[in-house]
Amino acid sequence: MRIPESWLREWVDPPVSLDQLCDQLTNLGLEVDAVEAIGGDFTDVVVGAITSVEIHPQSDHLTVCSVSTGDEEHQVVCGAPNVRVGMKSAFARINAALPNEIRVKRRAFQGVESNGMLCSASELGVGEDATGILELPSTATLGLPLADTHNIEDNCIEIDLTPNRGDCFSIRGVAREVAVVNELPVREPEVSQSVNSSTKQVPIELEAPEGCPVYLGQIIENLDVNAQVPFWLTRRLNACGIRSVNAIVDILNYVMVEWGQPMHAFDLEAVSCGIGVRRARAQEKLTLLDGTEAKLDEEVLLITSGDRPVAIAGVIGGLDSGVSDGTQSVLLECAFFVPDAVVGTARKYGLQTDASTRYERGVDYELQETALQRATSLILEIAGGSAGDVIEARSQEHIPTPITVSIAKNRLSALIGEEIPDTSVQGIFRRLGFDPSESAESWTCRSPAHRFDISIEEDLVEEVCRVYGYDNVATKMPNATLALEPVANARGDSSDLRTKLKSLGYHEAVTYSFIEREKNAEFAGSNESLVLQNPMSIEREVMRWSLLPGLLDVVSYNIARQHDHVRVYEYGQCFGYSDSKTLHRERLAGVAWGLRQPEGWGNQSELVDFFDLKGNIEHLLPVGEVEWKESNVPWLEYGNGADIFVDGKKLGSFGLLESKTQEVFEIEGSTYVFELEANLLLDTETKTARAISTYPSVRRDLALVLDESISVGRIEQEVSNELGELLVEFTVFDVFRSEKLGRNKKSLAIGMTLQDTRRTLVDTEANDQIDAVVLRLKEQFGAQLRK
Amino acid sequence: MNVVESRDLALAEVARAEDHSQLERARVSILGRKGTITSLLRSLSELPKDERPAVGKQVNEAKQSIEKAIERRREELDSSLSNTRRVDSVDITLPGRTQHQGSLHPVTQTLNAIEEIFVSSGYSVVHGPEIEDDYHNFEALNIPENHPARAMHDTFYLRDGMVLRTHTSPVQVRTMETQDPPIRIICPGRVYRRDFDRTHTPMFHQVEGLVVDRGISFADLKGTVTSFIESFFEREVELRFRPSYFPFTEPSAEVDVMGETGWSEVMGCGVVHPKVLSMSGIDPKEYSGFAFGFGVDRLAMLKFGVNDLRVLFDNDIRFLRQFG
Repeated sequence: MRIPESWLREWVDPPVSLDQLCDQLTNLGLEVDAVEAIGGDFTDVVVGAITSVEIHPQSDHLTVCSVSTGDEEHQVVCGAPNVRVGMKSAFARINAALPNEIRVKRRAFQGVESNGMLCSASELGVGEDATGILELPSTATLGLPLADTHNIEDNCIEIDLTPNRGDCFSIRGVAREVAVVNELPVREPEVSQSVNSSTKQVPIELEAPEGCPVYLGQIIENLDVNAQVPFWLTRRLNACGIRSVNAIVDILNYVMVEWGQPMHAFDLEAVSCGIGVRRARAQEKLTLLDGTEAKLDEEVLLITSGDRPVAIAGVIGGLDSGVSDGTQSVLLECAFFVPDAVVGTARKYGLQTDASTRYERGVDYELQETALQRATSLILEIAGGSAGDVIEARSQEHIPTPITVSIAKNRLSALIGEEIPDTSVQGIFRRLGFDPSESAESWTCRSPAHRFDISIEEDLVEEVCRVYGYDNVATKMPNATLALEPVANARGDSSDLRTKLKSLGYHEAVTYSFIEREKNAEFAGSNESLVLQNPMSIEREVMRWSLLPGLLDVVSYNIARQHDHVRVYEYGQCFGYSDSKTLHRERLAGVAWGLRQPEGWGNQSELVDFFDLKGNIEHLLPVGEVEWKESNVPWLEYGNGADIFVDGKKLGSFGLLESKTQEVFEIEGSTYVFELEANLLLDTETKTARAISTYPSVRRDLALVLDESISVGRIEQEVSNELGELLVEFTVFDVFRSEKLGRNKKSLAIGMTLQDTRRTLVDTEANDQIDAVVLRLKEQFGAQLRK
Repeated sequence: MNVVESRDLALAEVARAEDHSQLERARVSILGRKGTITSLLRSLSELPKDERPAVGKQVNEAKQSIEKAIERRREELDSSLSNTRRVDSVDITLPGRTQHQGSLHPVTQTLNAIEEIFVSSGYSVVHGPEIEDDYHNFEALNIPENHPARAMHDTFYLRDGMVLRTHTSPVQVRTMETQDPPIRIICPGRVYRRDFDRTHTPMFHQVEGLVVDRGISFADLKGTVTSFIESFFEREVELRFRPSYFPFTEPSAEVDVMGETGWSEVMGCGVVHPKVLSMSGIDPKEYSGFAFGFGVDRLAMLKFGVNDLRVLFDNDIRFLRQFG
């Protein structure tokens, strides 16, 4: 909400600077977002009176005027239609500087000399109106710089209101807060009882009093909708960000901004048979002021006339019943709609109006009469007409009643953490209008009609802290009643894994959890995807079932930025849907692309391969029995992918990215990927110590020639079966293929370390064991010793 | 005559000598016939008689320490000569033959720092699902349907009334539902709101904290938040608590820190609303609590001097590797 400083100071004027005032507001919970200096981008513009107006001898649409600035008379040529003798306006002297780098010069218009310029609001940059010159009140002092009148030089304070403080949605509301903290009274403008010269009334009937317990109406006949709206009024509306429409709408907006009471004006002809307030019926429709048609339902509170909808209560009026250029008489509506009756409606129809935001948050339910009087007197003053008596419809039982809240004094200080003196508390409650009563042990307050956020004792705690000043409240540390917990419970997290991956050269990425449908489908398999109902874009439409699509996009992004060595990983939640349930999986995934090592004098420029990735994964494995199996997942190239099992449970898969999938991400060159289930990775058991043998070990190496189809895993298994507990280490130290070995053959060099835990293993024993291994491998796989 | 100054100049000259000839030149300029110290000794005779013994002693001591320094330097130069050429020298500026280092994402580093601070003060870290039901994300936090505060959240919706959590507060609710006070937890994690500009991304990270015990007050909240922020930034920080509104706390506050360009909002907090306590089975007559929540990404930006939030999720390696 935008508040002109001058307007606020009319209501309450504490002896503090603008900066201090803004700090006060922020510290009260009315956060000042910005302060903007407005208006006045001109020099040498003064108040002038038009003393004569002649038609220009050479032109029909120009006039030659004489303008008095008190000390001298100036001949000025003017093109404005509203210029007339006796009017006071803004006069720019010769050499005056106007906005947009315009400088006023002495010049002749079709032979008549003009010594200055009469200006419109738009030419001065102080309003939108460009249709005529600025009309200043007859009381303005001749020759006075314009900047010093009408608060041309002003500041606009922009306040970011929280939803609980509907009471501050007006000059009056903000003034009340400023008054509380400065211990000053609020100076409400005097609202004169308007002289009602007509007796015309229409009936008002409240059929839904629970939604609208107060409805005041007043007829004003024979007014001039197109009357010139005074500059001071449009100036203020503009400063608040409200456009000028016509005299009636402008005045109602003015009263709303000033008092916080939204009002509406109907063209009397459209509501001549009276007003009803009821809930809408299903299928009922209403064409709104903005031209759109709203299809209503039973929850919507309606204003009707002759049972025909004319407005959505507290939100927006209907097109047919609104004030237009041809309107002669109006019916003013000044009502109290309860917040619940308005909340939701505006959002449902996408119509957040100034009125609906105020009603949603709560409008002072005792304000209607004053606000209506204020509006009527302004209308009579500006647009003329004759006002009828106020028509009043009330349902007393549905009008909110003040809420009484009590709080024990010791509870107040316990929740604040500090004892604030009773006299201070008393003063705060009193100035807030809470009508406090005090006993030895407690306070009792009544919520004023403008506050909808005071109902429990904690609300009183906040009010005391807020006015006392959050920064003035004591600062303490809570006393701890601590039980120590196992570290794993306090922090069973992934930091070990992340640190390992960092050492392995992987950069941690954080990618969006919602991704493109097609990319997710590459990895989702048969799982149903979770689709966002209101995605921000089609690229971020479904919840990821895998971390890989996000990471592959990162790889592609970095390749495009000329990286030749990309290692990235991500740790995070993945989502799916199955059996009417949302699935959450925490995963760790990574991608390796490009050079095995970054370019360097000691590195060969080889590309990353399957075994680089496998080596990395081996660093991450949890304790347990690990098995590697050929993988069938569709996103891995067949024959180049593996599933990893730990203690029989599938930990995840890794290998070469399948080429069709790779195309989706527009990546060229072999891409190796892995994705692992975090719960299994983190499921680390405490290791049990195994005694280290004190006897020497014996190492035996074998070079075997085998068929290609025999995997190392099978060889290791058989060796292990043969040697049992004697085998303490098995290594593969060479694999090679050559023409000499023959087609589909490979040579495998393995090393076996044997050790007994109870005695020294003698050479002959070791040799016997290895002979048995050789025999077994020959029988099982046809393995030959290489010569 | 400043003996100490002359001595220090002389010692520095000796130390600067890089070979034997330089050292010899230094010796002559200090202790030679026209050397600085020699001249000092000569000028002793110009002093009043009663001052001579004291100054004379000073000059002699200076002379001795310089002679020692020359001798020591001579030995140093000898030994370094004999050391050269024993093995081939290496170009120590050639980069090391190491593996490429990866990096932790700045958000992770920030989260680690935050968790470290709280865990060391006895808080537990609790995680929860990123897809939440309406009850835990809103209702249990005193945000019923149609509450104006829902508009503050710009929620992403999924099927069956599920939402992407808009804060990690639901984890607090889940904790209160299952654990009796005292409770001291922080809940880090990803949260989601429909918003995208320089300072907003539709996904970001939050840490929320909750303390529930007997006698917890607004002053305790202020102390905890202040001490956390100062621990995190590792310096004294000018802080401002100002009233704000959250449906789940009363009183509520926003916390601003003073930066180079003025106040900047870092945190929301407050005393837990009694309804929130009672809805999760904790008696607000017996217990009270405070809660706070802040954007990790925002703190990461402040800590690492990043000025566009969106960069954090571009994952440009050139950006990531700066943080090591």
